[in-house]
Amino acid sequence: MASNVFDRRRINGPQRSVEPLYTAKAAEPFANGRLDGRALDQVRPIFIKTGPLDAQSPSASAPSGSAYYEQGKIRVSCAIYGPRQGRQSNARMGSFDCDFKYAPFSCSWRLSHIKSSDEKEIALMLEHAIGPAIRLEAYPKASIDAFVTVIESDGKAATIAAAINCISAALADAGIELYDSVAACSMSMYGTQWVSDCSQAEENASTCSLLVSRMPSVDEITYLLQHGKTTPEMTTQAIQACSNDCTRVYAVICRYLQATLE
Amino acid sequence: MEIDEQPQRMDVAARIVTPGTAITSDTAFMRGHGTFAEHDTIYSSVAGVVERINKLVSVRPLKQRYSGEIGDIIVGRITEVASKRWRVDVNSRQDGVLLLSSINLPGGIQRRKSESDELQMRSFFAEGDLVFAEVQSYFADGALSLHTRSIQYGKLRNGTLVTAFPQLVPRSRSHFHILPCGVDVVLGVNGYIWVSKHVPASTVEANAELIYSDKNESISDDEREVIARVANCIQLLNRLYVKITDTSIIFAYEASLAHAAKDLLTRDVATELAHNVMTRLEQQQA
Repeated sequence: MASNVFDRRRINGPQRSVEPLYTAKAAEPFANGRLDGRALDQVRPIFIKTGPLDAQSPSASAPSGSAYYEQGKIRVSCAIYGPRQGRQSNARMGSFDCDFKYAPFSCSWRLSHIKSSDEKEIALMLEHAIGPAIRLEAYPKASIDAFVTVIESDGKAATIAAAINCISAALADAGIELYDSVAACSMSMYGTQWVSDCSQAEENASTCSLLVSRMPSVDEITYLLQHGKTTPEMTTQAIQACSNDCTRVYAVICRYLQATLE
Repeated sequence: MEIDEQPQRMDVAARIVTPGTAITSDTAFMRGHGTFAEHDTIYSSVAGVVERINKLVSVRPLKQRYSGEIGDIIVGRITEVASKRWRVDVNSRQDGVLLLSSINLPGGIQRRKSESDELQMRSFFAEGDLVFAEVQSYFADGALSLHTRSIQYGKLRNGTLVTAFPQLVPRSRSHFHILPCGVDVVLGVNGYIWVSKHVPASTVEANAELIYSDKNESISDDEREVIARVANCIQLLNRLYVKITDTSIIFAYEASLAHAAKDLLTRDVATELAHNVMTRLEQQQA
């Protein structure tokens, strides 16, 4: 009789158990070249448009600058508000604040509309990456706010890089004084091979990723982010390669900005 | 204006640059707005067109925020009532300040503002009110100090606000215009433009309480449509980057009469009207 008593205090497992299915390890993604046929150091094609969020109707709440940025499947939009009256009224320097949000439908899994800690962390990264480029001493007591929305993401590091590029374009659109436009690019490592600007599928199979954001014309790195394990030599090599990619992305942004002014 | 002969200096002006572009390493130049200097080289800090006046090199961006000058006529919105002052959003880097001591009392009474005036500041201007004011001076931190010590300045009512690029509204002798279509327009050089029903100045002068009145007068449907049409005309001039003056507004208004007021902002109509206005402005200048 005792054996039939249902024990409520313990977690009762099922009577019969089944061994889990192990998926096969992802195949080496570069056996037949990359998934989308790019070269290993090739960045996905970029599309930029400034001013998409500018209000068509008169309103004081319209952003002072905005940009829309595509890189392959990644789509990011950014709105800049300010320079406007800041919160601290006795600051010598202006302040730059960033807000980052994945749209609920932007990843392959559904995200909450509530801001996650991950998004807060990325917002902080963006502030660190873009902050050094803004001439905040030219804007005492003012605050500049950037609101970034990811409409579609494809590779986490690449999406952050795209967000940085998008903010750069939007800041230039807003006419905010900058030391230089910031351009960013990411890379992932497979074995001992670094590959530029990886998509989500490629990133899943990688062992390490690196993000570099840089001001090319003053030749300064503003932010560096590495996940995973490498050797110092490999990292140095990747920073160099990423910097070159940044310069290429920078050229695209500058060419676009010049074209809008003509 | 002297023009240098050296080719290296000549190529400085009329160039389109992006932030961080080296403009010149010639130490003879002085750096102006939109530039910064490092290691004897002048770099641009905004995306725009390089301009040179004698030795001063500056970069003019397409969009810029309003930076005030003393004597500017502006339209602002009250954002906060503080002690003895109002904070005013003037479309600038910082909020402007309107001191209690720099407003007119109803009836134009001249006296020092007392504590009782301080207690009833909201009866003059409350949060959200639009003010028509003049820049009186700067504060030490660059914030603008405004004043409304004239019968024509004060609270705005009976109309609608249009926001335009500040650089499109030139400083001129008069910023308050009574258009022939029976609409008053206040062109704030900060880019805020107020379009309202025409009220003769004599009615305001006759009734001192009207200066700080919150009540709209009765506005008929026809008047509303004219106001909307003028507001849309200003908006289309702004969208197509045409200077906003009383003349350009009148030209746009006259050209717009062929269309319904609500259709003015569709792309085709707006482009057509803006080109029409530009050709008429050129003809007038020639």
